[in-house]
Amino acid sequence: MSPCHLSLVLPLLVSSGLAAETAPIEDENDYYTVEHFPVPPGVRLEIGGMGLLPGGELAVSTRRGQVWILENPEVEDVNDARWRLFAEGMWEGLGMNVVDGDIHVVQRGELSRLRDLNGDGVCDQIDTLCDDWGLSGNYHEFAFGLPRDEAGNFFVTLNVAFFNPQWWHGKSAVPYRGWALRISPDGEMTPWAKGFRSPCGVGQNAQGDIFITDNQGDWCASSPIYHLVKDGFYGHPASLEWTPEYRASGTLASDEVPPPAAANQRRPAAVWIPYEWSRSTGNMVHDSTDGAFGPFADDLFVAELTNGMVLRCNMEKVRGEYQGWIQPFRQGIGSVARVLFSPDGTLFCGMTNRGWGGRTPSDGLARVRWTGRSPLEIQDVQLRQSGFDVEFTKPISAEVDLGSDCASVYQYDYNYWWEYGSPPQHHTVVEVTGCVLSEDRTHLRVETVGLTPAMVARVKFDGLVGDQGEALLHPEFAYTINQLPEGPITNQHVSKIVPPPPSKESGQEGWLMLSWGDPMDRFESEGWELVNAEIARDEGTHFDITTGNGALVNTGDQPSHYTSKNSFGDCELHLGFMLPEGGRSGILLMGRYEVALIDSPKGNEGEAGLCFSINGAESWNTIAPRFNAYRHAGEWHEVDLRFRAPRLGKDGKVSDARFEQILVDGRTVLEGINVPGVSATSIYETEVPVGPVVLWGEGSEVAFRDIRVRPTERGHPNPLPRTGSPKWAPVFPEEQFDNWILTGDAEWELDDVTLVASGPKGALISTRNDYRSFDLRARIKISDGGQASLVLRVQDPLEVVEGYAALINSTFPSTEKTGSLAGLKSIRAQLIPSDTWFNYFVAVREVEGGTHIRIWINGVMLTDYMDTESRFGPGRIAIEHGHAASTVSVEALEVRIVD
Amino acid sequence: MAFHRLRSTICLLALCVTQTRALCGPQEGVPDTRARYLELCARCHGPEGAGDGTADLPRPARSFKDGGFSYGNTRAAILRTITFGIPGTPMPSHAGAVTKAELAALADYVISLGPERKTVSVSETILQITDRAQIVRGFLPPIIDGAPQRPRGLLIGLTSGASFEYRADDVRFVAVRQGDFVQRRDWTDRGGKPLLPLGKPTLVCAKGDPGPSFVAISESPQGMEREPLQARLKRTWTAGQDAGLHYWLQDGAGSILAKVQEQPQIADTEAGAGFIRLLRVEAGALACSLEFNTSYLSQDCGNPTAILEARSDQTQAHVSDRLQSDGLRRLVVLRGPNSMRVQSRSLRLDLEPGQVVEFEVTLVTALDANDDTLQSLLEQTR
Repeated sequence: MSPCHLSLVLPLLVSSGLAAETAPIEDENDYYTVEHFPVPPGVRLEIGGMGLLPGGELAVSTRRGQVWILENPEVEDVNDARWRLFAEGMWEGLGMNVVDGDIHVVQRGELSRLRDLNGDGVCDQIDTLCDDWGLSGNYHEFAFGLPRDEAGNFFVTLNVAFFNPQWWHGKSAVPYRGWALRISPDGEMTPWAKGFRSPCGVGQNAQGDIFITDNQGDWCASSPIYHLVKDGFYGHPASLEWTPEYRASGTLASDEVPPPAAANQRRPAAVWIPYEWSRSTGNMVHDSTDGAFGPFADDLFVAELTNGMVLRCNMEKVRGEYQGWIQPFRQGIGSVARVLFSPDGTLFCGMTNRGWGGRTPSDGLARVRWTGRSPLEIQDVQLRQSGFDVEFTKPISAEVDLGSDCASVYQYDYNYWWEYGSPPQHHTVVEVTGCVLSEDRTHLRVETVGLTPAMVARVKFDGLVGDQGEALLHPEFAYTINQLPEGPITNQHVSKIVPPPPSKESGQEGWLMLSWGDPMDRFESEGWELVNAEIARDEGTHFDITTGNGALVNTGDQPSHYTSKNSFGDCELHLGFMLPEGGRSGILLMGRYEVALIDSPKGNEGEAGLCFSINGAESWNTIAPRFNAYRHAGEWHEVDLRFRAPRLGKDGKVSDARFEQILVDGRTVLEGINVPGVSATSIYETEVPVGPVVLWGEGSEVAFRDIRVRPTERGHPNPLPRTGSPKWAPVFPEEQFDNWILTGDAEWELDDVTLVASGPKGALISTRNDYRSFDLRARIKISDGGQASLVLRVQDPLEVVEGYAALINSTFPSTEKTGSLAGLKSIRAQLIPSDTWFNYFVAVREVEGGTHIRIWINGVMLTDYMDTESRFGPGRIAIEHGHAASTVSVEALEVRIVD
Repeated sequence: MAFHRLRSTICLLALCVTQTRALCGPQEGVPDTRARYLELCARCHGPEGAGDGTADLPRPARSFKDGGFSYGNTRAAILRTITFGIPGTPMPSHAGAVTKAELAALADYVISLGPERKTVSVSETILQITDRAQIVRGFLPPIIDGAPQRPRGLLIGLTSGASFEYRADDVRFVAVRQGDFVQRRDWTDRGGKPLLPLGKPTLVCAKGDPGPSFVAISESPQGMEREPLQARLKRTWTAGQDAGLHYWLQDGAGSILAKVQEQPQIADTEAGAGFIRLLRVEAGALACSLEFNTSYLSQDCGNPTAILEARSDQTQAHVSDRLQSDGLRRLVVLRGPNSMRVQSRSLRLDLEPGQVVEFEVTLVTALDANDDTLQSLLEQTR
């Protein structure tokens, strides 16, 4: 680290500890007391929602699906609290409102109205007002709420999910994950705004505007408070899936590249809460107590779990939009997830940390009350073009020396990217040129030079005391400057778009390495050899061929094309090629749409056209590349294609085939080219949904290497089967772990989602023993040299695991690689690299004439075998782990019964 | 090699509903783990896990003492974080640096540095039914191997020990159970887990993947057409020992064809025990014809060996007797207005606008049955 860099980082570190920047807790205690209510024995109140009933009782909904009522929340001594269980059996209550005396709770799956019809104090009717949102079954799909606007509409927010593959990317697998919803009083749902990650808090300011807190993570740099605006996009791209534009275009937003909406539609956070103040933000509520809670009327109070405190925040409208400041208010409360004011001036704090960790106590109810003594605090802050006007609750002592060093200011911004949170970026010190106190000593003007829009400014006072010598209780605040009051409006955000960081995985996931292992296995060809090739020194129009495995070359007299046995539609394709002088070949996607490979070096392009042209036909013209990316005969060129197959409907073609992108040696030569029909060189006349990859072998000598295809769907590599889909069931359901049948000595480990086998050979076998016709699917990864299999219709007794074995083998020295059916059908190509996740799909059918077994890898059918002997009748399903130097990982192993 | 059930060799991380304080706490820590911690973690997280290490970081490291973790504080989540790191933060992957056993020991050690955890005992998660019916919403696991799981489900538990399992998102009748009610695992760990119904299934409809209870039917030149209807849950209720649900039947355009109230009950008859679905259907603003699916009552059985019918001015009753594969008799009673048409696998209701029809379907399992048994069932079912 350079000394320069160090100097930028140090001031932040110095100010980052809570203890260093806020007054001791006992000082807070002088002004605001914290009392924790005892709860009935054995009860844990993990509070997710709170509401006041007309009679003054406090209702709380819990993560454990209960609603409790505190009958005397204003009781003098909290030890005299009287609790009553009102409702039981809901699925998480993480938001509550009371409407006309009726408790409304947002559960994970629905917005519910709870009623006690017979007056016995217990709920006996739950009305489902709305359940128009999806649940995939993922743990992270929480639903939060529940403020109402003036018209009585409810607001609910929905988390994105986190599951494999790539669990670090939040996903919106079912409708409206990552959205805020508006639900009318009669239950009609309107998707209101999108782009949220884990929007745990929904609240209102004194004007009735709705605000939402989110939690830092992917695409969420720190913990923001957003002003909710209809149709707003707040940054997390997964939710875009459910916009009409993305639905109509048939694409999914990238998990790693910022979507276009990030630049032109993204709504800024009104307030970014510094990471060291809030790591898990709950809801917020405005002080509506008319002074009963002290001098902070209308301020927003924000719940914070991890640091166990409540923050205080206020906003102003600058250039028509909310932005504002925040600072700690009261620490030492516990994992505060929910806050609610009662008119008498009590701030109720509901606690839970939903398994996430946070300050103790991690559950229960606390109340914060004003002691009646006014602290010296920041009353409000207003941004000026060159500084801040800061109002205090009491006069600053006339004795204080107000030099420019009584305030220090620095500013920073964040990265908007897919990684988890963002460290502050572009940390700069803002010069304070003066501090001027008003005549009544309650307003301080802080003059600065260099405040910048789209930054967070941190202002800290030093040495300010009141007339009685009392210190400023919380001397630091963070102001989110989206815009300055004057000057040009910036279109920048505090959270700025930056180039996507490198992917966390190897990039090999989803690919089929068609030419690895035995390169002839996955292609139909004649006259092709696996050799080493380089351009002949004496005769540049030919290759010198030597023994080796570096190139596939059409060395025969009358070589055929090199045609993949499998067909592909939407896909990505990678290969390397080399031509001799005057060479001519081509890549025909689906055997139809040609990217021409022509020896056409710069300055000597020749008449055959430019290499990397999309070859036309009679009815349409050849499309030339933007520039000539071809170098020289005898040099290897690396080609990457992203291709979309034509869409065919009942009444003919719906859309053309399309080259989304053609890259040569990493540079884009063509992009977004629709191809109206097949090329002149097409092997076929008609257009169909899928076809083989054909490498032209009849033109001249040509060498290819490293041919790989990644089938895609809607622009993403083979989508993972989603656990919890209807019809599919886990082969090893969670609650039946006790009944796992194990043979051999392998070690099996299971975390939340991944089953890993290692150690000596062994098998894990289903309890069900009558699988006959079924589909089986899983995500699998095998170690280098490892070997395993999915064994179908395993026969009893289980001394030996016998059945149809669908093999899992990337680099174990055997000719039966992944996708083989052991002893019956061999796949010799090493399609999947070791230590790379891939999707396995097997279909077993009992049909007339035998047992029909088909195996798909990454969505491509490799094995299609009819066992006319029907060797194995109905039986179990097993995962067999091969040997002690192997590790196999399996996720989402699910079965679908067909008969 | 004989097969055996090796529960002890499996890391049942996801099953652990009881979290106990880790064995290797800071004081009694395994020396090697402590040393590993100091070597790998303390530079950022501090020697005692207070987040006060000496490393220069762009933002402070987590304080384990505060117990907060980016991706959850369960052992599995922490193990995953230690193994893979957290992208975009200084937290690196330790997958290659230490053995799996050391990773696990480190996870336990890190947990032990945090605040003491409250334990969740199994008994705390079990919801018992005492003197009143209970309804629980939640994620339903597959009821049998090979059956689908449903993220939205509903369990109605009666004081008799019977519980009825419904899918909540499309209100399909899945199963009847007998025994204890349910273990609420949904809020353990980080939340979101399936419920664990505790009763033993006595009837599983269509292998746990039933079709809709109601379809709309219409005559057309091509013959009878059946339109699947979307059933939307609208209400659940309990009243003393009774409980039930309301739902709407909507067509593809969202129009409400009918509103249905359903109440499951226990049938305790002289012939044997079983259960009843009491149904009340109120047609919407338009006339409609509905079929109520009764095939679940005869699944896994042969054809009826006897059928008895009775009619009064207003109502009819219909009893059939089938032999189950286990030798028991399955007695099905259908009772409703005369306008209801009893078909082999369904009941047909032709409804005028706003018309209300009440009917009930009963399934009784009996050791034996004869005409007298069936006759008495015709007269008294409930």
